Amino acid sequence: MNFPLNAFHQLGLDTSLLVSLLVGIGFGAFLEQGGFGSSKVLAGIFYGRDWRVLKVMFTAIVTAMVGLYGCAGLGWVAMDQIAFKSTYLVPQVVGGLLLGIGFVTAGYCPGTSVVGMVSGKLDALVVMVGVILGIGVFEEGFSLWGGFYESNYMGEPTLQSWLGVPAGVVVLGVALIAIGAFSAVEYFERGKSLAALRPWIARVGSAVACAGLLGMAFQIAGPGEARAMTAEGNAQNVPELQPLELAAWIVEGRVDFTVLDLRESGAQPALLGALPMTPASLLDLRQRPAFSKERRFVVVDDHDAGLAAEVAAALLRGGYEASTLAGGAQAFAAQVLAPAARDSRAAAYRILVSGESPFGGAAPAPSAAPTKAPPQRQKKKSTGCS
Amino acid sequence: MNSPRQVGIAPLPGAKPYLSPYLAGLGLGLVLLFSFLVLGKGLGASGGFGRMGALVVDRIAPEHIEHLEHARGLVVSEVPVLKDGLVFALVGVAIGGFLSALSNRRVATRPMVERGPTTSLWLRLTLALVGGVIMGFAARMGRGCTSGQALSGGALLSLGSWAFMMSVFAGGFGFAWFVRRQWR
Repeated sequence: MNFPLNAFHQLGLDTSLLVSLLVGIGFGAFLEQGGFGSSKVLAGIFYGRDWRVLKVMFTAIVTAMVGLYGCAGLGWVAMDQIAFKSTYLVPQVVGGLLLGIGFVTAGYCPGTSVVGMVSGKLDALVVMVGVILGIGVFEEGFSLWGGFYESNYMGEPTLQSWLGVPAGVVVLGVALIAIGAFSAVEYFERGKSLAALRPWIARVGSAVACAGLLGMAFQIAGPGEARAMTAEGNAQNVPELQPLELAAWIVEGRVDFTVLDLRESGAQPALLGALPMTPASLLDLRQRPAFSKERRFVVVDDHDAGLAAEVAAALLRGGYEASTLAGGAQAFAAQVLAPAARDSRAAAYRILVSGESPFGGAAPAPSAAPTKAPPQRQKKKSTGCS
Repeated sequence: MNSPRQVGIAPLPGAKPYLSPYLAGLGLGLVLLFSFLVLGKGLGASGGFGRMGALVVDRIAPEHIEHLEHARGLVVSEVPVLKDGLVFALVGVAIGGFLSALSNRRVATRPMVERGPTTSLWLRLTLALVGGVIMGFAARMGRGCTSGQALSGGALLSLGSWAFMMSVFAGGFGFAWFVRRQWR
């Protein structure tokens, strides 16, 4: 197992669009089956009349969560290649409050308005028009609230990283909270009768509990390290580029290669012209410059093993030419940047970086990026509901 | 006041009852899991709306879009603005929802507006528009809506997504009293 299948766009744009269409069809069909084509059902939750929204949503979250974290625990899926959401805490809380207000006012949320529209509801169509207008309002006034929108950035924390507990514990905890919430609403819907609740608990409750326990067991007992998956086999045959050779390429001003830097931004030593990348941003076509198949990629991490080899292996699988930097950035520092490194290529690179010519006077300024990579678009990962 | 049992049944004659919410949720969760395992990301709805809006602005007033940082980024790209997974997924939602509604006889034969027995048509449509505008704004501010943040981010256990989801419920329950008349 080697999930996600589309890591680094192995599937190509057309296939991934087709899959998106299929996913959308399934999504729309189950939303409709759940009753979300009706604003009365959707708004019902906010008046305590109808708890379908809670039941459908939490069952879906628990199912996908247990499935995904279970697969990760078994080592089948590389979690660092799943597009996690960045957290901007206060803007997201404000956005959530406003979305709730809009939801109860409109009777639909953006996704369900589409289902309502195709069910023949005119009000749903009006909601869709409103959503597009509202996005327009946000874009028009971006200078007013753009600063707030970008504030409170926390990286990509998860509940487990925030609480400092293993993922399996959170998986089980969420499953148990779901059972608690389901039991509570069923209890009230069945006229506060415990007797009527018992057969329900036997079926739905035990199914959710078993799922949560399985998810936790796989998370804790499984290989855990998602990277175990690619470490066997396919990441071992990745070609390596020697640091001195890379230094020579940069000094020569070659433009047929791109250095992908997987390290945290600002990590030392800095590499001239390297493109900062995360595996997740490689997944996102919109964040990623157009990659040419002719271009050679040099993937750099602190060391060459692990993540760098995996990313290079995935790029190779995707039909790109890729290699790791032998020894990673640390080896580059030792063999090229260290003043003791006597090789002429290392010396030439150091001169290029420091901007000093050995013949006195300033050398031509280190042309900003020898790799001519298109500018990377900034942090636009979640454009609305991405 | 309706009894809770009757509320979920669509008012159309001949319409079949909805699927058990737990089964519908299971199906939805499996679709989401499929998306994670194949595409490496979850679902989303408002992103597709944004791209459609950007396309409209680009066609009507291409010089204006130069002022909109984010929308310009969507339009000025090697890939056409609608050739995007979010847009295709949104089209899929329409297709899937329609097929499901059709096969369960839940498609209204004439366009209908759901509202309370004493609610005027214009009140309901006005609230639908105003609510939609608020949601469009909110989905951009919160970086997603109920599908992208609450559902997909919730299943990933993202901290921001859970904060968002709790806020949606807080906002909805807190504001419900003010718009209760549209269902009476």
